[in-house]
Amino acid sequence: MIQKVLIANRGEIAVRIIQTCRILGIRTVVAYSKCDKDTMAVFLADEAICIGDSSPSDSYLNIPAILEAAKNTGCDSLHPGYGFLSENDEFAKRAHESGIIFIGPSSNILEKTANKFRMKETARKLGIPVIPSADEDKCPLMIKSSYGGGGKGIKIVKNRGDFDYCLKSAKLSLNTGFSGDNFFLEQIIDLYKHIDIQFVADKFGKISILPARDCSVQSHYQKVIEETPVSNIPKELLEKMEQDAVKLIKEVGFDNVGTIEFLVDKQMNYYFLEINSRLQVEHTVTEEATGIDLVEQQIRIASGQKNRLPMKVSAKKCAIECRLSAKDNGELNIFSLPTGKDVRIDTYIYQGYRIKPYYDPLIAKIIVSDKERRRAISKMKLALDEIIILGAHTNVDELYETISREDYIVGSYSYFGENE
Amino acid sequence: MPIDKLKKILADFDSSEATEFEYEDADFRVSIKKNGPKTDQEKTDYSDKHILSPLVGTYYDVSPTIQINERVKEGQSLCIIESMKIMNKICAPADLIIRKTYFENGESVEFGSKLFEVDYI
Repeated sequence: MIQKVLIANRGEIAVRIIQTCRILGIRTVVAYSKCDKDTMAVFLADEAICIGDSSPSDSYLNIPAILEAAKNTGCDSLHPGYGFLSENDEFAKRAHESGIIFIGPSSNILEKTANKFRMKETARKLGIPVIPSADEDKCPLMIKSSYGGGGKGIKIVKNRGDFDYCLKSAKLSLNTGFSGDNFFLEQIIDLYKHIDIQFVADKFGKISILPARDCSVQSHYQKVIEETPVSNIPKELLEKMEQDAVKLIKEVGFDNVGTIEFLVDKQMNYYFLEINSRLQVEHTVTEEATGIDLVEQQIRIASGQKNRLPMKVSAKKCAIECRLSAKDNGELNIFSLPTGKDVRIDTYIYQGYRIKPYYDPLIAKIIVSDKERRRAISKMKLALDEIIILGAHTNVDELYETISREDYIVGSYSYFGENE
Repeated sequence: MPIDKLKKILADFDSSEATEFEYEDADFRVSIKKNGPKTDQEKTDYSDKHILSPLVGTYYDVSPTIQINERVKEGQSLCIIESMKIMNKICAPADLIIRKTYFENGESVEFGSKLFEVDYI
């Protein structure tokens, strides 16, 4: 079993990883950037080591500095969190070469799953439905990038005349640093739901499927509200997606915790979208609904232990997450988050903290759960109502408005940002 | 845009006081920004009398070891920080006198750790 973990991330996810490590008796080291010295993870970890300047390329994306910090502090493993280097096969490979266990899938698997176009081809060959390709003379269509993430590199082209401009702006939005990136074109589907199939797979080929998540409230292709189990998709359709997920996991040989994302259109057709080879922001709703600690699963599997979960895990409760984000960088003079029964808060912020301009604006994840979905929604409204933040603008009002909508309450609401 | 022209723009921008530059024509757009904090850091801040470690790694003395009250010329090696098996020489940014040392051979240093207290001459 792993003894000491370097956490190569920041924010709430660094805190989240420390929490599980402490429960398991694993020592933690946080690798932080210059401006993150005052974040919660630095206070909570057993040790903290500054690895570089505030800009991500100098610190959280700086592979040599992170690996040096891991060796320097005697860590036997590292957890990449989400974002930054979490799905970077080069990082996983170099960690392995330095004798450090990468808590995530093996580098050869990351290399396969990182390329969205290639994964789509793999899925198609297995008979899994994928979004039909388009050619530039048949607009509207969607431009996608093989290595885009968080909505970057995606553009909708409405008219043929806009195509060149849209392709250029898709390229400009990328900046991923992946050389040899390429774009592919897809038809526009009549999108209804974005469904995540969460799974746990070990190095011995045992796969467990956890309850699916509905992530259909988004903004600029970034998820905002997520829930599990999925309430408004026929059971048979979900089962088909789960079966296809298992096919893909086996084909890739995936050996840790991951997610397969599907899109469902209004005619109830589903399409494979991509594999996320890391812990996801919304893993929390799965944890609340099932009682399983997904970070613990990642650590156990990376340590070479067997997956001891049943092949199909069912949800005991309904869980909903709202992502609370800052709209500007201010000092949080007053910062009070909800408490109480069945309310979980994942955050790294405290009163007096100044939000950093360099990173993602997520401040806290508010998660509630209940046996009944409608009661969970009521609990979420109450929780959002209890948030008091002075010093920065947040999206709390938009979150409240969304979960109060009639169509959200009956489970049919979805929103994917501007054009989709 | 021909690559030579772009190189020229980059060089001119680099040596100028400007921190942002944008240019657009029919088929080309370029936007360059200087990273504020980084350029500040690269310049020697003579009011801070400390030499800071530019990276995370292991501290090694140079030979002969730098002594307290020793006069050091600009560009002279002060110590080595080993990071991922690469030896990075830390040199004096200007003529100076070493007033204090903070690390011993083989100790771990973080990014931003104080390596030496100095007086600039």
